[in-house]
Amino acid sequence: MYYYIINPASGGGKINKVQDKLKDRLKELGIAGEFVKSTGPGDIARLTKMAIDKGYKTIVAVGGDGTINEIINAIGGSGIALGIIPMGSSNELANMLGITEWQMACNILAARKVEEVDLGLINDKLFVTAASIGFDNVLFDLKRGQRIGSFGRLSFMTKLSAAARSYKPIHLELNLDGKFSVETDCFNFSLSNGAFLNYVPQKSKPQDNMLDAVLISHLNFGDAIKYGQGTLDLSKKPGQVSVFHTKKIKVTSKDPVPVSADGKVVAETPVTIEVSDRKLKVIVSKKRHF
Amino acid sequence: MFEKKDEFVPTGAAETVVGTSVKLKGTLKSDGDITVDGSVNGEIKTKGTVTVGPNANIIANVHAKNVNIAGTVQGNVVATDRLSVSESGRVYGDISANILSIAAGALFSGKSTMAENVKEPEIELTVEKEEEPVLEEVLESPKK
Repeated sequence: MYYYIINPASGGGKINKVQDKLKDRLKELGIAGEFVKSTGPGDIARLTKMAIDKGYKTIVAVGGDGTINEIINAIGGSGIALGIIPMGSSNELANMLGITEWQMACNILAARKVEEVDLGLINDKLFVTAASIGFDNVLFDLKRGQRIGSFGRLSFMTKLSAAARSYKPIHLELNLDGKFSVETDCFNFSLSNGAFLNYVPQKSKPQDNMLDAVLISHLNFGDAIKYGQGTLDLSKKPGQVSVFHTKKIKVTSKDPVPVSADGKVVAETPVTIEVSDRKLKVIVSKKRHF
Repeated sequence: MFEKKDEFVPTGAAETVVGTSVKLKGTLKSDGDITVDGSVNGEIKTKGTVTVGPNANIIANVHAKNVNIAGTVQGNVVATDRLSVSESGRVYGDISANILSIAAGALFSGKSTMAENVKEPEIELTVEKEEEPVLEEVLESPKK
C-alpha cells in the first residue's frame, strides 16, 4: 500500500485541478492507498512520521522538490521508498528520474522500479537535488510566489528584471575536501547531486558519491535574465563557469549569506556541505537521466 | 586551420574547470580532463588532459597525459603523451613529453626531455636479440 502526501500549496495549487482524476487513475492501477494533505509548515514531516509508524513501505510525494525535501528529512534511516507525482514549481528530482507529468508518474509508481541515489548534507539537513548560494535563491523566491498562466509569467519576468538589475555578486571562499581552496566573486554557486541543473555537466550522476560544485563568476543583465528563464547556455560562456567534483566543501563569505537545499533556505554561511552516508530509495522511470 | 589544430588541441567538456576570475590554491587532482582559465598556485595532476587557457596563470607543477598550454605556466610540466604550447603560451620550467609541439611565438625557458630520446638504448637491445638462436642452441645441447 502506498501513502500519498499531498502538498496543496505546491506549484501554486496545481494538484487541486487534477486531484479527482489522479485518484481515479491510481485506483485503476490498483495502487490507491492512503491520501493525506499537509496543512502548513512542518506538517509534511509529521505526516511522514505517521506513515512510518503505520508501517508503510512507500511514501509518494505529490508536490515539488520542497515537499520531497521535507519527506526525505523525516524518513531518516527507515529504508522507505519514495515515489513522486510532480506538482511543484520546481520538479528537478522528478525530471532527473524521468517523471515529467502526473499520468506518467502513476504508471511509474505501478511499475515500482527502485534505485538508490546519493543524498547531500548541510549541517544536519539532507538534500537530494542541489544546494545553492546566490542568484538561485532569488529565483526560488520568485518562483514560489508565481501564479499560473500568462499574467503569472508576466509578473515573474517583471520581478526577474528588477532582481537581475539590482543583484550584487558574492565573494566566496571554498575549501574542497581539505585539498585545495578557491576564492572568487560569484553570481551563483551550486552544489549538485547529479545533473539536476541545466548547467551541470551531463557526466554528473546521483549515484557517484560525489557532488558537483559549479561556480558562475559573473553574468551581465541580459544573461542573468536568460539564466532566470533557464535558457542560458553556459557552455558558450567559457571562463565564466568553474566546475569541481567534491565530497565535502566548506563555504565561507565575509558576511553571512543564505544557503538553500532543494529550493528552500536551510542555513547560512559559513557552512559545510558534504555527501551523506545515507542513501535514498526512489521509484524511477526507465527513461531516467542517469 | 589544420596548422592551428596542431598548435593547440582543444578538449571537449572538461570535468574540472577553473574559471577566469577564480584563484585556486592547493593540489588539484582528477582522473578526467582539467581546463584552467584562472589562476592556480600549487599542483595539478590528472590521468587526462590539462588545457591552460590564454588568460590562465599557473604557478604549479603539472602532470598529465596531455597538456595544452596557451597561457602562462611557472613550474615543471610532465606530459606522458603530448605537450603542446601554442603561440600565446609561456612556460617557465622544465618540460617532459612523448610528443612535443611548440608554436612559433611561444616562450619556453627551461630544459626539455623527450621520451623518444630516453628510449634510444632499447634499439641496441633489439639488435642483441638477434643472437638469441645461438644461445638457445648452446643451452639445448646438454639435454641431447
